[in-house]
Amino acid sequence: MTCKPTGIETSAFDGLPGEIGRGRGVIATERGGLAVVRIAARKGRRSAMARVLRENFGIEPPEAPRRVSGGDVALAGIAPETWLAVREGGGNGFAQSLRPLLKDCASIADLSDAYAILRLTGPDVRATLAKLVPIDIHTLAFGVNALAQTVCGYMRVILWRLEDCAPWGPTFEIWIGRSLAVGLYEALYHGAAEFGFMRQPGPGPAHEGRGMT
Amino acid sequence: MNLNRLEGEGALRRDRSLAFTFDGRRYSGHPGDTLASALLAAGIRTVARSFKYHRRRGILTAGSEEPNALVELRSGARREPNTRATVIELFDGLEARSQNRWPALGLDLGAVNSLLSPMLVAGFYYKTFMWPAAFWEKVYEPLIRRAAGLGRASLEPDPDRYEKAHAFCDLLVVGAGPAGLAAALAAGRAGARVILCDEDFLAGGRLNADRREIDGESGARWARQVADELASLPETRVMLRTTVFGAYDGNTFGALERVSDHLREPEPHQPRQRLWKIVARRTVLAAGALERPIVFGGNDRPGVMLAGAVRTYVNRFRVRPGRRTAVFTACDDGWKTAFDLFDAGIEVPVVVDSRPRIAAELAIEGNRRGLRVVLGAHVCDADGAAGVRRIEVRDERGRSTRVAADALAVSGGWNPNTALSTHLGARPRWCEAIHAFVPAGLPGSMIAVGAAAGEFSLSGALRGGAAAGRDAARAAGFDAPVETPPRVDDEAVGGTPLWFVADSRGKAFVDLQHDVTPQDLAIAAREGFQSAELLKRYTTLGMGTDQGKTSAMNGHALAAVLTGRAAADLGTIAARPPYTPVAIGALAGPHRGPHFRPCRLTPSHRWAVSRDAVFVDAGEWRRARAFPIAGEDWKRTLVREVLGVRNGVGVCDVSTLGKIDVQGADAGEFLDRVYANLISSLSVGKARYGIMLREDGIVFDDGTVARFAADHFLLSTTTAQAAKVLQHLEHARQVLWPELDVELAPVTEQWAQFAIAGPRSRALLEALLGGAADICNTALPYLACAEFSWQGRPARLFRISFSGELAYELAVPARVADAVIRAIMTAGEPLAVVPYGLEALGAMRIEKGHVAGAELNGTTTARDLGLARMMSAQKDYIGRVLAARPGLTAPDRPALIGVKPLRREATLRAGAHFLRPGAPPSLANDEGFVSSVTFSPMLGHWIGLGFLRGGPARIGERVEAHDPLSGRDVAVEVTSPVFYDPDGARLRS
Amino acid sequence: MRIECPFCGERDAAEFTYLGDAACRRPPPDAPDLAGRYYEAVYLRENPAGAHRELWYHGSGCRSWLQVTRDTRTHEILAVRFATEAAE
Repeated sequence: MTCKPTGIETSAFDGLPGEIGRGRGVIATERGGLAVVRIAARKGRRSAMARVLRENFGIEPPEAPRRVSGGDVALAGIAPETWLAVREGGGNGFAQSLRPLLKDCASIADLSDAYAILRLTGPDVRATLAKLVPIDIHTLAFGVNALAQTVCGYMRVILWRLEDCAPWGPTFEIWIGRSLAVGLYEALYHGAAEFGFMRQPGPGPAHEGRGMT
Repeated sequence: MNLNRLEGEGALRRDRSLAFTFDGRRYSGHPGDTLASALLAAGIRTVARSFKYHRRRGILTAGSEEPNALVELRSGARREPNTRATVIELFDGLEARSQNRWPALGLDLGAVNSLLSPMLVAGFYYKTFMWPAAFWEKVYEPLIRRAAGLGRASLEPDPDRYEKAHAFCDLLVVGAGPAGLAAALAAGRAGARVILCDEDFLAGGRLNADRREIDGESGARWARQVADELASLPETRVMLRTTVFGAYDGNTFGALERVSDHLREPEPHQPRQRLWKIVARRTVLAAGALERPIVFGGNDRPGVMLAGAVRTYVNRFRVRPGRRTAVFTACDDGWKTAFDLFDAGIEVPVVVDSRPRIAAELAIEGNRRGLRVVLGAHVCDADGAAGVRRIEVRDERGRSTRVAADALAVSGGWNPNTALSTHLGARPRWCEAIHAFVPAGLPGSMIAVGAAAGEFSLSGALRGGAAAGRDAARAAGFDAPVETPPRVDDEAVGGTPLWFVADSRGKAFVDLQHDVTPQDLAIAAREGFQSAELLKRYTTLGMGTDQGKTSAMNGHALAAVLTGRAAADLGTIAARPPYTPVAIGALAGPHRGPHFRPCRLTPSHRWAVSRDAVFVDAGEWRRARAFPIAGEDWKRTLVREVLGVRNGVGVCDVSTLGKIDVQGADAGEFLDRVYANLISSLSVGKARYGIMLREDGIVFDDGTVARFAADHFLLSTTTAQAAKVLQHLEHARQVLWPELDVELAPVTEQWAQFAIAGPRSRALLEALLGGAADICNTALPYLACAEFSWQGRPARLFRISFSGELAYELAVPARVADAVIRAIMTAGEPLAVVPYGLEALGAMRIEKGHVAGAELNGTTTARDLGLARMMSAQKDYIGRVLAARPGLTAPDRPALIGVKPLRREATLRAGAHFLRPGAPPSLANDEGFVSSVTFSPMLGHWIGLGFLRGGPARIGERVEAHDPLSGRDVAVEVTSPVFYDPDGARLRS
Repeated sequence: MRIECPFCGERDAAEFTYLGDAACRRPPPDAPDLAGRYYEAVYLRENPAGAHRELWYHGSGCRSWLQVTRDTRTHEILAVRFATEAAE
């Protein structure tokens, strides 16, 4: 007899309150279903790795903490010689498909399950983020596609800025280790309460809109 | 009702009234009032009793430098002691009480201290209460604490929220007076990112307090217009009610925004206060100047007020400090007070100027108003039991005159507010021209302007501010044109210092908050406490909540005179953050109670909640401690869970262990260098237990290493050390051996990992996985590992065991963990699977003698832990050399053993120390300690692990486990640390 | 204090972990008087008043180890580079 896992993937934000305060200063949407892979170039094999990525996805790995995208794959620099490759959908299979491609020129680790991700937008998103992260997120200091690994409270997060999202304005994604999702959510929820906060129902993998990828 | 309120608006909204109470009596004021201005308007003169002598005290200032008018604000859980009435913005329903009086403000029995004043001089604590020693704690201290001291803290939890926030700017302007407004405007108009902070709730600084004209209109109106323009600039933020309280390294500043202190209670979702960390490329210090009092007899009486503050109350708050207000000044600025009082229709019985000659324009203005002026004179006494009633003026020739006055405005000159300039270690410089210290040695990113820089003229403040703002904008890359400065009238700003009146009558005070007198300073000088810093500590000068803002300069000048030095030579003390008191709640921000620190939840947390697990916070994680069934006590649950595992099968979430993915051509070589044992020899598909040492030879961490490919390993770390191990490995990779090809990826969050343990664990996995993985004993023997695909997802299986049973750890992607744990329970149902928690996990590892955090405690070596054989002799590794030090290899070091109580029903306690039977407890007789204990369900009694001098050689001996904390000693037998299945047969079955 | 991480940019010092003197080196395994050399490398530290080269770990950011030159009297950061580069 085989017992299959009964459900599907669970959201790390399930069961948390969805709304506080008056107004719509900050709107959060959970990002689910992303395939996330950490790619670290092997010693001296960066150009070989870059060639593979260029040939397969048409993108050049960025040197800085920034995101570049091509087709349905985006690459984000997270450390020297290290990137996150992100694809909408594809699940854990993305890492498995990258492994033979990048064999001997990069080390691959699947992190598709490692993060809980919220997309944040709204007129007061910067004022809220100023309470959460100790970095300058002014539009000049943190442009579209900029990325930062930093701390929120005492939690490591990855913050990146997406294209502005009409009519709401500046749009960010905040990534946090899955085990800390509730802690981040509470900080966000209370920080945004004065502006009015709403979490939209989490979209599945088929979520529309310009996201990470 | 408000006897002392003048006609006119000032900066008030006279059309609205606000009700408040002081000591239970009802009063009223207007929006725009402070508590101090509203009290003065109501004719309240005494608002507090002094710290040491319980003397009546009134209101000295109109700002945050106030030493006297400290009150208890609000009630219940929000009660806050020692708030300064001069900065409390009046709100409807405000409640305040005077403090440090008993039984009442008017009749205070503590005032008897005044009679004892010869005893209560500088150093009295040190001298008087020396003997007998036991009296200090029991008698003297409680007595002094009752008599002295200030307000009472609320002992209830703070009901308010606090926030923290971060801001970045090209220019931070501290102070929104004329200089600060000019600086912010110049930089803001150029497009720079500007933050302008002021502790006041109104922008303008002294422009609100003085009658000045800028470009033909009132200074107050000009300030309002500039503030409005600044608020309209997209990159400029005006933050009122915000005190920049500290300057820190790296152009970082701390600021406290009082979001809701002007309200009865915070609006919904608003914090009470918000703590800002501001990073500024440039900073303009425009914090103004603080007026200094003059030390003379009776200078602490209610009614004696700084001259600048008198103008603030008259012009801004439309309040007269008294009906007949005399003026005593040593500088031109005091005359402005005389003129403003007179022009407001308040009687000015006399203007006393200590200087024999004054500027012609002052004399002309005085004559024009018909003021009675005495030059070259001083006030030697202010008298009156409940506040000033008359003053004694002594002229150049020593003739005394008594003048009836119910208030006295005093000005000894102005001190630039240098506080923030000294936080980073710079010392202010004495400026002879203004007889005061001015900021000096500032970093290039910081500049002082206006009165804070000793530039006391309005035109100079506006000019200097604008120039500094322009510079900051240009430094940030903006084009900032020079604009014509606004037109202002000229003024006289001269003065000759008068620190104290030598022939004072009555008691004079240097530090009003701490009741420090010239006599105290004389004693300190006589006893050799002559430097500014020693003087402060011996006399408590400037050590109150006001940090000596009005007293330090006078005190130092007086001390200089007493020791025959110039004020410049004595120097001054460095101010330290915070500039004004900051509530601990604001510093803690949201991090208190359950939010004290973030808590990590395991992938099966929701499922565990649904099973009514009890949880325990272990390090960063909240873990299921046990899964009790109704009616069970903790011991029954433990026994059931352990027996369930050892006789059947159990499941436990072990995802909290750190997981680090190690790949690269040199991964094996790298791991050989960081583990004490050999790793490169591990076959693909196998796992091995490993220990890491620190370079000093002490054990750092342990865990398993699994190999999935020639160039791919997965390490597990202990839960507590996961981040530290990653840091350690990154150090080895980046700093020690950057030439190796090795890449590290933390993957703890990616994988949910479940231990499935017990003789029926294989049967459970077969049911669960079907044919997805071959798990028979030959395909997956003890210490084997496998990667496989299950339900279209990657999964990993490790044949490792912490419990000592046949066991597996199943790793699955974290997103499906909830589904998997439920599937495990379903598959295990026919096998009577038990979920088990941290308690059972711990009991089973102690039964097996496995070491954990309590044993890997940062002081133990591999030898101490019985793991000496793991230290490879075939290779170099971190810690190898120093682990061989004589001190770490001494045979008498305490080493790991097991203990069980001789009386089987006895309870063991971790932390108990081993003594030989009969040996008295002492450090010399200490033989080691108990590190971990548990009730052993398999043995039916308590067992423990510990470190005993001589270690396993003493197995069979009897020792005492001495526990002075519980007061209970237990006789124990020394045993092997492995209590259960010592040859490990169950593991391999 | 603010440290300019060569990868992440300028960050608050709270994002970093301090290790200490960057001059301490692990002695080669075949060096004479290994115990003495290790004792020096592990326990003996320079503590200059002035410029000091130190190791900092950007644990809350990109996890790079950095060699930071800091004036110990003023906390001024004079230079920052990757430890991997400094080791070359």
